[in-house]
Amino acid sequence: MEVLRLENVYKNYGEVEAIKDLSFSCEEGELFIVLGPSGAGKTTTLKMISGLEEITKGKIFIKKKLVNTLEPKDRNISMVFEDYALYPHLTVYKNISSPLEAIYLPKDEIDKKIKEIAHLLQIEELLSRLPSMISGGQKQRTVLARSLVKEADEYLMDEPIAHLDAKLRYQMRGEFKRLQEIRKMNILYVTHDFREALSLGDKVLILNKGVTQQIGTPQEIFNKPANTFVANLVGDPPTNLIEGVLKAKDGQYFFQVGSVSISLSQSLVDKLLSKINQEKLIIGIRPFDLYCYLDNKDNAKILNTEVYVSEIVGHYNIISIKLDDTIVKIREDKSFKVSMGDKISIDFKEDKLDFFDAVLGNRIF
Amino acid sequence: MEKLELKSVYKDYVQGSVKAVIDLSLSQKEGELLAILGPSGCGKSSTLRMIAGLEVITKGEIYLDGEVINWLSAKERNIALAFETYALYPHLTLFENIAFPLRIRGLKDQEVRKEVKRIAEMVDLTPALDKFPSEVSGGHQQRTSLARALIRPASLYLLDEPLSHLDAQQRTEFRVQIKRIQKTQNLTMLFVTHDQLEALALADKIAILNLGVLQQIGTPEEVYEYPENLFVADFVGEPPMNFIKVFLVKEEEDYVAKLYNQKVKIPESYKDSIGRFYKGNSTEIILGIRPIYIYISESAKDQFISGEVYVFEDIGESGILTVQIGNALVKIELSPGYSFQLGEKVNIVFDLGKILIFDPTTGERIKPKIPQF
Repeated sequence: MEVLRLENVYKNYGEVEAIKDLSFSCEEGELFIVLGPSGAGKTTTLKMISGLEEITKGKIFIKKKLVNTLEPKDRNISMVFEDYALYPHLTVYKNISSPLEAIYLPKDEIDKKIKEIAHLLQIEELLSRLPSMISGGQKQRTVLARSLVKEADEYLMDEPIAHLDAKLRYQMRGEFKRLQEIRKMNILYVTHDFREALSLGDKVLILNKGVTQQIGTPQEIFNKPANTFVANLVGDPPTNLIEGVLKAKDGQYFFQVGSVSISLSQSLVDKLLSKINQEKLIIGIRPFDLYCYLDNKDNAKILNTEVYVSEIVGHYNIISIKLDDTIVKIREDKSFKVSMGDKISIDFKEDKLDFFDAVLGNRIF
Repeated sequence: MEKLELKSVYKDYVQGSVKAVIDLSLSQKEGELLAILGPSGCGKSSTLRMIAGLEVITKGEIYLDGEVINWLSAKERNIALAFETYALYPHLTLFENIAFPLRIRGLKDQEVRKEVKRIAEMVDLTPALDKFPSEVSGGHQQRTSLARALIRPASLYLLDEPLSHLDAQQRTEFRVQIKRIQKTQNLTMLFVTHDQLEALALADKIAILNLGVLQQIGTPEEVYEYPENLFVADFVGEPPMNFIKVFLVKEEEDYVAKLYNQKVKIPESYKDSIGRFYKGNSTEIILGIRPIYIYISESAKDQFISGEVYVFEDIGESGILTVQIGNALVKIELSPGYSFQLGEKVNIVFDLGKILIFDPTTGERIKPKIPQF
């Protein structure tokens, strides 16, 4: 069942169009992610849904009811912001109970709800402590508990774990995912971190400069990016985007990047030429779909190239090569050791390639 | 040859009530890229500022090219700086900002132009040289700051959080540039960072500080695979290392770690060191193992441990599986393509060669007999 729907929503700040023609809907029990870089319009979207910002044009429905003109308090949503604030003079328990006391719920009912949410978020032992006596991660759980303890049609979350340190973020992300799998809450979750988006989302909407780039499942976003923006946003190191032209020579087919030739099969080139009316295009390929070989491997698709930089990052060796002016990254296991200047060849499977229009950046296939 | 050497360096603030750096000794060879890594408040910036001459040393000696430089002013030290807070001149173009150190040395205009062109090419700034700092991105500003440091020959180049103001993608791009320049020009470079990935990717050697005290100095491989103590093990690597508190039990001649009624055999090579540590069957140790060194068991012959799926996260390029074993949660990093249900039973295998053992009281690593490196 549909819980939230945006229909052709716009938001202008004077001349600036912060949100352009935004439409999407969230189902019951779904965690819906809005992913984008800073300035994409993510927080503005949340504020419009919560009623903290007016919308310039369009319609917002909560449980099929038009809420454009409703006050924030009448929309039955709960919001968690990135910069959380706990009352410093109140215990964790009192901090969580404050929204329930505000609606005059009976004491025993409040108590039951708090115990339940505290159990789920594993903060039962902290309930009698003051915020100054708990860690950053525990504060974040307290904020989540306070937001989740009250009934709402949709919970809106603005980068709820972004400012935690890397370790805590890993831990909280897993905890949050488990919580959602058990509870199946209606959540709209905003983040700039692709890992959070892929890990947590049932559906992901990618926003850039107020414009929707793609809506899909995490698998669709990762495996079939709609354009070069999405391909580049999702993945670390990001998808390699290589611009070049299709060429045929002596019955061989190539993708030509400056002076570098990448071999392609005839069937692939024919398929490409049937879909586009120019030879120029962009190939996308993920760093872990490229394979490095010392010297020239027979039939490798990129021959005679050299290591530009090799960086061992933990378990992986991230090797950079230069195809003409484009730096291409390859993720190898760290046991594969190479040095700057070493001659290598590169191979890949053609079905791992994405193709994008060279001008608009849209996916061809 | 030792380029830079710190001998028992201390830094106190507020008449000794704050000890920012305590008994720090380290050295750096010519052509080496050294990272000083640590969380905020670890003393890394104080260290950098003492080397640069921006901060007085409380005790100890700093040597550059074999000479004590304690009493030399910042200007007198043959050190070039690219500091986070070292602002660019807003009224000068990027070109003139980079040219500045040469101009004040009175170099001829023709030479200045040649040098700026050469350096700008190196850091990929050529198309932006005529712009003013306010007209370019943070990434370009940071490149300009680096170029300004690189333009004159120096014994040592100091970089303060050189990648801090960049977005994730610019950061990986610029990281590659810095490494190229440092290696091709054979510069001796020292940078401080709080970002362990940056340190691992860039540095030849990493010195890790915590609360003013050096925890370990070694190659990226050494600090990643063989951390000296729990702090280093926990600080380096992503996803973070698993730490599991277990009881050590002696079964005939073997030592085993007991993990909620299940057992992990401690490798033979630990017999002596663990034997000395073992004080009866209530001896506790901490097992440390990186998520990438745990596998899903594929054969009944494996020495596996059983647990339940606590949560599974598919993040495209890898999968992060959290397994619950008793009260312990263990994270495993898997290659793409796996899928699990909550609560599903799984058998996992630890790569015994990659297990680390720590003393829970001191946090120090207990080492095997056969050195791991």
